[in-house]
Order: sequence, then structure tokens, then C-alpha cells
Amino acid sequence: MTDPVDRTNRPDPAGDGAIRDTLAWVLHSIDHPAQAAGDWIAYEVDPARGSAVALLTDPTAPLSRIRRARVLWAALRAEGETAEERAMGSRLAIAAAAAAFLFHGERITSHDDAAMLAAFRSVTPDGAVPAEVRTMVRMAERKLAGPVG
Amino acid sequence: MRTVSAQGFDSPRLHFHFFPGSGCAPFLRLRDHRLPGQNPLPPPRIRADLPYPVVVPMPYLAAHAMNAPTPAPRDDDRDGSAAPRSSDEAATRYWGAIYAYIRQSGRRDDEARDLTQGFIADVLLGRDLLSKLDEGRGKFRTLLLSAVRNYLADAYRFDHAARRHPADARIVRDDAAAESVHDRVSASPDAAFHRAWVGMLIREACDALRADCAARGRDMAWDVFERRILRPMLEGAAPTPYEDLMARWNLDAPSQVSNTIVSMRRAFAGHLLRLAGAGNAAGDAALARTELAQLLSLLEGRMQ
Repeated sequence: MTDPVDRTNRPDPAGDGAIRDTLAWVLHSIDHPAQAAGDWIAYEVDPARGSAVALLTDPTAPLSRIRRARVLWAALRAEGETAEERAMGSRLAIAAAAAAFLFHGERITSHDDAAMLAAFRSVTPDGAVPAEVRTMVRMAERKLAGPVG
Repeated sequence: MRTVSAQGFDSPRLHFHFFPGSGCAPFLRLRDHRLPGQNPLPPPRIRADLPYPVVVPMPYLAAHAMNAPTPAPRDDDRDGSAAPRSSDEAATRYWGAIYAYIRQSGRRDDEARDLTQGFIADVLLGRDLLSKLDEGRGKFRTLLLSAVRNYLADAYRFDHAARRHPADARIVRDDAAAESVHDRVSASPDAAFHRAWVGMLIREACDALRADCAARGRDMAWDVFERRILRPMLEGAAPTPYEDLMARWNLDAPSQVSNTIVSMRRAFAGHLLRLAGAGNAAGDAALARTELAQLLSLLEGRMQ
């Protein structure tokens, strides 16, 4: 991976939108600091979707971008400045694996299914993770676990 | 008309022409008689391709050219207060917002410049509006906007009184030109003022962050943030590709770039929050957050 950014969908520059966007992301970082860190990485990977929720819950999001986001979120898990940031990086990296499996049927980690299942189940109760993402991970968990009974 | 001289807000001698008998607060027509190269007044940044008289990116560009000297950290940055330290500084700081309001009210560029300078000399400095900055930057923003609005109303009344009773009956009206400049489609004067105000905050947050990075030897972090976030966001520049940044700074992994961006965005947000709350009680981040939220609402037209 060299440049994980899609540069085709940047927001309108230099206009009111850019000013509002700047204020909006600053406010977002004040209100939800850990989630904001995850969203900024999602924006780096896919400016058009621009947030972790949008990237991870869109069935049409390209697998390549989900892979890239997972790598960067995993790095946030390892090198984030705050504990909340690192925790969010960990959760979103798992969620990326869940999205790849749910929407594309691909396993993008080296873990076996049992480890993946355990990881998915660690995300769903975490209230810090956006609800839409937890719902997606729960669906992936069901798909991986297979039909019950 | 009588003319007096005074030391202007940035030192060179300015000449104020008083027009007595206007029946309202003294209205000054300020003429700048300084020589070329003599400490020029802050110029407006006008982009012909945008409907706004003052926009953020141009001052940002001017202050942050790649080779521009790094701004020195302000002494008052240390105690969390970035309110203007003097009237001179206030005059420079608020020029853009004042000009934006006046220009967007339908005045020609030269008129708007004159009125802006007149307001600064008469109200901001003459009546020491800054001395009322005691309850927070947000309050001062409202006070300043109200003062500009009143000043323009006074100017309008004076102007029309003069036209009804011209002293020499040779006043030339140029309303058509002014009307052609006035953009009725875009923002109201209030919106233009608030937009310029936010631009001022963003510009100052950039300055503070840049100085902070320079002081801590975080050149790479500033460079990455500037090339990936600031310039694309504020100037429409193409973001520098990851591979270029990695080569430029001898980085091993793209995640070093992305984590730097996360860190710098957070730092920028911290500076913007501090600046928005400057003048508030120390540590009152809630008030600063409210001020930012109000500004966003104003820009989105959800507040009047």
C-alpha cells in the first residue's frame, strides 16, 4: 500500500463548506474524541464516505479500502496517543474484518474463524463503538457462526 | 470640514476628515496618506471566483507560504488566553470581519476599506471597544458586530443627509457601481462577518499549531498536516500523496502518516477551542465549545 487515499472525492475547497467542515470536525473531536480519530482515518482512506460508520456499513464500499482502513486502524491501536484512541483503533480494525467478511465474503486477517468470532463478540457490547457498526459486526458474527440448530 | 492628524493604529500618521453636523456620532472619513512601503494597512483578500469579499484561504496562504518564517509563540498562549493584547493588535485582528460585513452590505471595495478604517479609528480605537472585552470572546463578537452595524447605519444617515442638502451640489452618485458589486445571492452581512470571524480563528489556530510544532521540533508533523489537511481543506490544493510524504520524511509505513494526521487534527482542535474561548474563565472549555457550536449554527443559517 502506498497511498491509501482516494483523491477523487474531496469536499469543495475554500468555500463556506470547507469552513463549516472544519468547525464540524473540530466539534466532533471535542464531543467524541475516540470516534473522531477513527473517522479521520476513514476519511484518509475514503473521503467520499468520510466516517467509520459510512465506510463500514456500506455494502458497496470497495474491499481494497476496507483492507487499507483496517491496516491504519490497527496502527492506531498500536500507536494511538490515548487509551480511548487505541481501544477504538482495535475495535474498528475488527469491524473492518467483519465488514469484509459480511459484504465481500473475504477473510482479511490471518486469524482462524474461532478467533475472528471471539473478536467480533468483543466489539458488539462496546458502547463506545457506533451502534450502526456494532449492528454490522453482529450480522457478520451470525454469518460466521452459521445457521443455528 | 476640518482635518486633524493623529497617530494611526499602526503608527504612521493618518489624517481624519471630520464632517460636522451629521446629527449622529462623529463619522470619520479616513484617508491613508502613507508613502508606498510604509507599513501598509492589512489588505482585504478578495477572490474573484468566490462570492465572498473575504475568505480564509488567502490570509492563510499569505501567512503560511511554505518558506514563510514560523510565527513566534505568543506569550499569552501559555496561560490559555489569546485575546488581543492591545488595540493595535485588535485592529489588525478584526479588520477582516469588519470589512466583510461592510463590503457585503453593498459598499464598493474602496468605500468598504474607508469605512472599515473609519470604524477602527473611531469606534474600535476611539471608543476603546476592546475595553468591553470582559465576558468572553463570544460576547465581544456580538458587541463588535452590533457596533459595526450601528456605525454603518450612522454612515448611511450622514451620507443621505449630505445628498439631500449638498453643500456644493456636485456630489456624484455611484449607486449603480455599488449595486453591481453587491452580491444579493450570497451571504448576508452578518453571515459574511461570522464567516470572516471563523476564518480569523482558524488562521490563528494554524499559527499557534505551527509555532507549537516548531518549538517542539515536530517539523514532519506540521508538514504532513499542512499538505494533507490544511491546504486541501482551505485552499483546494491536491493533497500530497502518502508515498511522497513517506519519501520526504523517510517514513516506513503509511500508518506513520495517518497517525500523525490524527495527532495533529487533535492538536489543531485544541488550539481552535482555546481561541474560541479566549477571555472566558480559565479552563471553561464548555463555553468555548458553545461558542464554536454557535458559530457553526450561524454559518449553517440555523441561527440569526
